[in-house]
Amino acid sequence: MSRTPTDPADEGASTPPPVVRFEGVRLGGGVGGVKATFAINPGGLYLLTGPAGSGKTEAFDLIGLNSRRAQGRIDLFGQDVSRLKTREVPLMRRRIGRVFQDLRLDDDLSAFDNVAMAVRATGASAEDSRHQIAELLGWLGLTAQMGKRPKRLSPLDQRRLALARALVNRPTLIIADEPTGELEGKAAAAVLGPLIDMHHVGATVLVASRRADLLGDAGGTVMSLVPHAARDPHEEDPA
Amino acid sequence: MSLNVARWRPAPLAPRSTGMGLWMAVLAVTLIGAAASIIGMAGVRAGTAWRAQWGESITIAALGHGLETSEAAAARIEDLLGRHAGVAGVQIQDPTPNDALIGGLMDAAGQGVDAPRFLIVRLRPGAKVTQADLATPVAAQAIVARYDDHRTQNAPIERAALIAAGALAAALLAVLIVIAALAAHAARIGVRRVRGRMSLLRSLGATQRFMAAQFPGPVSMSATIGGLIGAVLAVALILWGADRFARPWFTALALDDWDLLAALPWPLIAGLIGWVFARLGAGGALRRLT
Repeated sequence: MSRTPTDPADEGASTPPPVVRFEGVRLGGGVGGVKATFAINPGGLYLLTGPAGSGKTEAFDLIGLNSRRAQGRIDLFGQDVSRLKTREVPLMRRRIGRVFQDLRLDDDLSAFDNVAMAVRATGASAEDSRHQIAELLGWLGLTAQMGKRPKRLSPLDQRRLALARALVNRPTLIIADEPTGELEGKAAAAVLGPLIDMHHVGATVLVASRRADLLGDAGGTVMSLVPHAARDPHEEDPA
Repeated sequence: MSLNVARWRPAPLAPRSTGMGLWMAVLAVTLIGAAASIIGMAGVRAGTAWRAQWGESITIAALGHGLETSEAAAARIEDLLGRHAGVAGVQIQDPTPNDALIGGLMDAAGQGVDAPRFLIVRLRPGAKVTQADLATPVAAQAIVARYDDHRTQNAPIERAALIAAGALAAALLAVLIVIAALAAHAARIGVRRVRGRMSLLRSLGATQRFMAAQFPGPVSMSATIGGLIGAVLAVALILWGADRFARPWFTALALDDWDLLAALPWPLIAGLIGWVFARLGAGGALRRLT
């Protein structure tokens, strides 16, 4: 299923606010940049696609509040991020589970500690959550790898570990930037499967990939970050 | 490699090298700080003791003259000055072993001159009695004596104590500043070594307070260990050095066992300062992280 981004004006008054709303947010920089306007609704499965340099990671940085220098307006969970107070930013980040394109696994820590770090970052006791962490790693097929350093894991297990870290705090919104990387076939499905499972249990999932067919039969909404496609159809061409 | 979940403990988020090596630097500065504290304690005690014991008194050395022995002269002075309005009391000092030895040697040599006998004349507080007020009646009785008015030493001793206390305070402040700077620097280096991890923690929703709190523990531990070794070495150095070198020159600064307790707080001070400034140093470094 493919569609152009949602026009915020089309949202009904009774529907819950979008989890993410971009309004005229400039992405991609340079001449080829686009002004993106779209909304991610609660519980949805979305694929943000576009060629390299189109601004997918930039969009994720903005959603993950890793960057707050944006033209246009971004709402997260119904709140304008430009109005967030400094102390509110960490709380907002904890509602988002992110799989980074470069994974950002810590090679000085064990796989278990990499996941526990996400729990500790919220101020919770990782020792109290150790059994949930072990259960999650088991669900992702990493039980035998829990004590290993990430660099000793296979590329598939590294991606599963990054996914475990994103999921461990039961986030409302999961954003995964190129979660399958160079993986193909069953290996790619092993990474995408848990994401789709999370969508089925009510989480909002946003995946970014160069491949528009990444989600396959899982359905979901495909949004293309290319000029004209990612732009609000009601907006006039700035040129 | 599997993992025993039941025995798992969270790994430290600060690098394991945080504060490592800091203990040696803290040891060096704490050694100075603790040694200065002990000397300062002894100095303050000696100054206070001087004022209390000798500040309002005059020592008189009674000398034998003609057929009168120094002991008889001392007895006459005691009787004479004991009745003086400005005098609280007169006490003839027992001969020290050295005095007895000198007296015995002189007798054996047939010199016929005995060793002087010393008297301590305690003056009434605030009494305006001069040395001449005491010397005049003694001389009138044809007694030969020498006088040492301790009050003339009060002002120089108090001035010296003030200067010493100021210098000591400045030295201690410098030591504290050095420990603080070392701790903050160790924490900053720790943050720089795990920039990526800190950046990731921030993305995961960690507050700056949480991230900064990862560093004071190891820094404080290292500073406390350095402080402990420094304090023990300072005590050893003072005991050894005081006996070997200082005691013959500074008899007034004789060490008391209690003076050594001045070294006791230094490990705690080093640990506490290490904790506070590591926290501040880490906080500053984290603010500069992009």
